[in-house]
Amino acid sequence: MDNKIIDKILEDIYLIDNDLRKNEKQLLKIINELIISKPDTKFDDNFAVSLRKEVLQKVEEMENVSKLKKEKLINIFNFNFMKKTYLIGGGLVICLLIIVFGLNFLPKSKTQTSILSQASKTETLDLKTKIARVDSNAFGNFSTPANGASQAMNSASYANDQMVKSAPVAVGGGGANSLMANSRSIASGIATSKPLGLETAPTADAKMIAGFAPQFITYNYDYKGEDFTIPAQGDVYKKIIKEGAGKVLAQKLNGDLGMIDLNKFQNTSMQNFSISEDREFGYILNFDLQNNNVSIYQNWSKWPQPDKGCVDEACFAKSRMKIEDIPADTDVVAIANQAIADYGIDISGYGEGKVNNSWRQSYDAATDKTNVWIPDTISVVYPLKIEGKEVSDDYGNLTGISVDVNVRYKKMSGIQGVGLSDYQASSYNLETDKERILKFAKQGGLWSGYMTYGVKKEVNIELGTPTLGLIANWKYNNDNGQGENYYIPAMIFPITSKSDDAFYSRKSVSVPLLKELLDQADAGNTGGNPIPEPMMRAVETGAGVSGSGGSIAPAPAPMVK
Amino acid sequence: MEYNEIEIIKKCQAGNLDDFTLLYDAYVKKIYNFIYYRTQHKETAEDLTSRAFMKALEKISSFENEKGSFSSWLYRIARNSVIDYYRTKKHDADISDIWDLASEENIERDLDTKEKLKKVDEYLKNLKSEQREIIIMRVWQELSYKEIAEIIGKSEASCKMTYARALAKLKQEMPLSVLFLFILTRL
Repeated sequence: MDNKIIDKILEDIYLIDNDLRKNEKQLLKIINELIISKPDTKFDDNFAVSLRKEVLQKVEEMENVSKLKKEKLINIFNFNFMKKTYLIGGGLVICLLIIVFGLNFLPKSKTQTSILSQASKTETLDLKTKIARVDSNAFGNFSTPANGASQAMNSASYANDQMVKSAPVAVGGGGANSLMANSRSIASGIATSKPLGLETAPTADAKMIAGFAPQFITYNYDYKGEDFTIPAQGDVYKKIIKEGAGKVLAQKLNGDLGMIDLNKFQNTSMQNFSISEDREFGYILNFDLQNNNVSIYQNWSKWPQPDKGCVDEACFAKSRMKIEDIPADTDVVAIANQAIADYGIDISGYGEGKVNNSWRQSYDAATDKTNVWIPDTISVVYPLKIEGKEVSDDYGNLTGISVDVNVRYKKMSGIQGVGLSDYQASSYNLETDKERILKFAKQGGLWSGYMTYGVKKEVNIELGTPTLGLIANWKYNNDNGQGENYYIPAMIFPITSKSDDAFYSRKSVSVPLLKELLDQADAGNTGGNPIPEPMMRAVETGAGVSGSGGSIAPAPAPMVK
Repeated sequence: MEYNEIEIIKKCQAGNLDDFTLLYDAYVKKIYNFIYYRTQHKETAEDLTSRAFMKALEKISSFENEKGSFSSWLYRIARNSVIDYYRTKKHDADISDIWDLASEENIERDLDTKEKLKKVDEYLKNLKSEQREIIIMRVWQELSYKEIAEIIGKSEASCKMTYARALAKLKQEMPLSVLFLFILTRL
């Protein structure tokens, strides 16, 4: 309990009897005694998850019994619908309106029929997330060779990241996003390792941004949390793309457009479309109807470009952001929340928005801060929650809806990750051996075994009591040739403190609880990863020009075991 | 996450009961703690928390926002679950939480909690159950007096008057610790 509440309690007492002020010392002693005596309630996350399931079962029973289960009927001509449903639904309506509008300007042939011949009917599109329970172990083994494809991709991408990381990056090029992306990948790539075999000759950029000078670092993880429990079983979730939106739209496009007769095509489905706003600070919306998601980006031609026409460093410097231009995190979150509300995006299945401040790692570590690039765009992440459990990636970064905030103009500049999905849930046996889980936590997760020679620096990291969460997993399905998204139970260890380090921006360490993944890691295999061999990159010369994407200097590729 | 609680409740009342999970996520820990402080037994607290949420789900259509906040409505359900539990267990209408039981009563209680509460046990025991509840809600759960008043179903004004009168009478008779606790329970 903080002092403010204790003061408030005392104030309340004095309001009743001001004479008691003279006994304040004794009163404080009694309050403290009460506070110290506050019992540990032993609240168990596993219990909360289990009860949540029971609540959902009860909901289902009640809906069945009382026949309350309703499909949401979307009258495509009901404009009120746009206020009530999600952005995707709104987008579908907009799309139809565009088509209707467009057709009025197309030459009509005799054979042309109304493309909205069914428009007077209402269409059903269920926008609510459903979780269907399937048999235990229904998604197979997650350490099978099939999974290797995904891991191989990850690994390849990881290797590429490392290549980027080990080369100096030009400041200014690509704007804030590029800086943040590089900064983030540096942090995550190196942070997951035990001592990492990376070293780069000092460069001018390295002096400016300490984060871009990889070096050998040992990360020592120490568990400082309390005792915890792990459930014997847990649900693995598979993301199921809702069907319907693309088909519903394509069914409407059933006429002769004059230039082509859509009636001749069968079983059609709309796959994607874009909408742009023609206004100042307008946006472009990209709808991916195959995956039922939508992304919003700046319509660059409608946004001011402060460094437009700049040809020299002095000009670029004028528009460069300063650290005092960066608003407080609460203000950034408020802008993101407002955008979420303004555009009717449903975030009920997501956690509270959290600012991604990884760029500050580099800023804080830089010796000459005047030359450090300050981003003009900062992202706020609303972590996805499935049945109350937050989803993070392998490196402990929360994943979900990401809202970019342009802090120069204090406006939302992009939203990614908005989508409609259902899930299948399948029960799997989990590893309950706490010591084994702690072993992985103390090595920073499943990734381990990096080179240990030449260590120049040690970073000590403390882990707190873990909570039960989920980590995202991508798996290649050999049968249908498609990638599938899964969410696997994991213990998420919060990082409670760490010694100073420019590279390390992780907030937590996640350890998956599927035995097969742990066995695989113990066997020295993190999922069929290829083993990148040390190699030299081609040397390209040239100065790091702002906006050029960076100069390339000789840099060793990572040595990843 | 800040949800518009009223909107969620309206959705639930309109039949979208899936949205009840949002309320569940927001309150499960608070309600569990509330119950634990009255039972001091993990398994019992979990059982009663489960009962409280199932009851709330069943009765959500009868919740009226005009009559008070959802949180106090939910806390009242939890409070009644605890009272029902002890009544069933002891067939005694006066038993409303663990402190009403004699120390030798054969009711399960977590040992570490029992040990931790030794110091405050005696004077909390000497208070009326309602007074004790107020202290727990105020000091351990950090609820405001307004919230507490809603949960226990008393108006702030009537409580203030009652306590002011009682205080004048008892001030001379009580040791400071008990007097303090007594004052703390005024609303």
